[in-house]
Amino acid sequence: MKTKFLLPPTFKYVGWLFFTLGLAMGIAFVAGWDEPQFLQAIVPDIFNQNTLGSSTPAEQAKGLKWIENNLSDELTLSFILVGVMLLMLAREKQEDELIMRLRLESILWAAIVNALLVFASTWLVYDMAYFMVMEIAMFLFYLLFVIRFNWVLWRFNHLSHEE
Amino acid sequence: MKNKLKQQRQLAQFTQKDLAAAIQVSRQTIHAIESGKYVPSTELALKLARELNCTVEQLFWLEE
Repeated sequence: MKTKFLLPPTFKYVGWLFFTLGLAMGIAFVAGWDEPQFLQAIVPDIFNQNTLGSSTPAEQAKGLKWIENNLSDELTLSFILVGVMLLMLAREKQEDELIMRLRLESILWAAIVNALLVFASTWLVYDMAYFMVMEIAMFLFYLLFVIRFNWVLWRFNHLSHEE
Repeated sequence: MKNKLKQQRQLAQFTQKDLAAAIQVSRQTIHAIESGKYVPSTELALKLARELNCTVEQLFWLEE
């Protein structure tokens, strides 16, 4: 079956590698590991408090600046995002119309569950904990899709016996 | 939608795996169609009928 947007099946392995690496880094930093000094870098800061609160063009121009930042969290989120995207977009070895239907159903399911979780956490989680929830929410949709899609695939593969 | 895919397949002496390979789908898809869990597209229904040497109406029909 011809498929748009999907990548070859081998990308699934690359996806797992990136995701595992990102997840390990994320857990390590949350657990209190120090950010490595070699990841300290000067980066462009294109959207900040000046950009948001300024009214004149001169003040807005101050918003675009270079700042010193440790890239640990950027790398962690990038690894996780690239990982889950590859897991989501890697084609199955036998990608047919049933698999496509399971894929679309899983996307819809992930969108609904993701929205419900974000809605619930908006009303139940506050302060810095909410900031962490929002960080997780950046890749939660993709992760929910990967979990649900692989679960229904596993069920289909194990519950359908040759007759 | 009901179907007689399993009977027609056995009549044509195909295993699920052979039929799946012939029309380039997974064996699980054939199983899902036979057990009524999945209704195939027109294209897949036509391919099944061609492979089993029968008409689409002999394979699939609407429930009253």
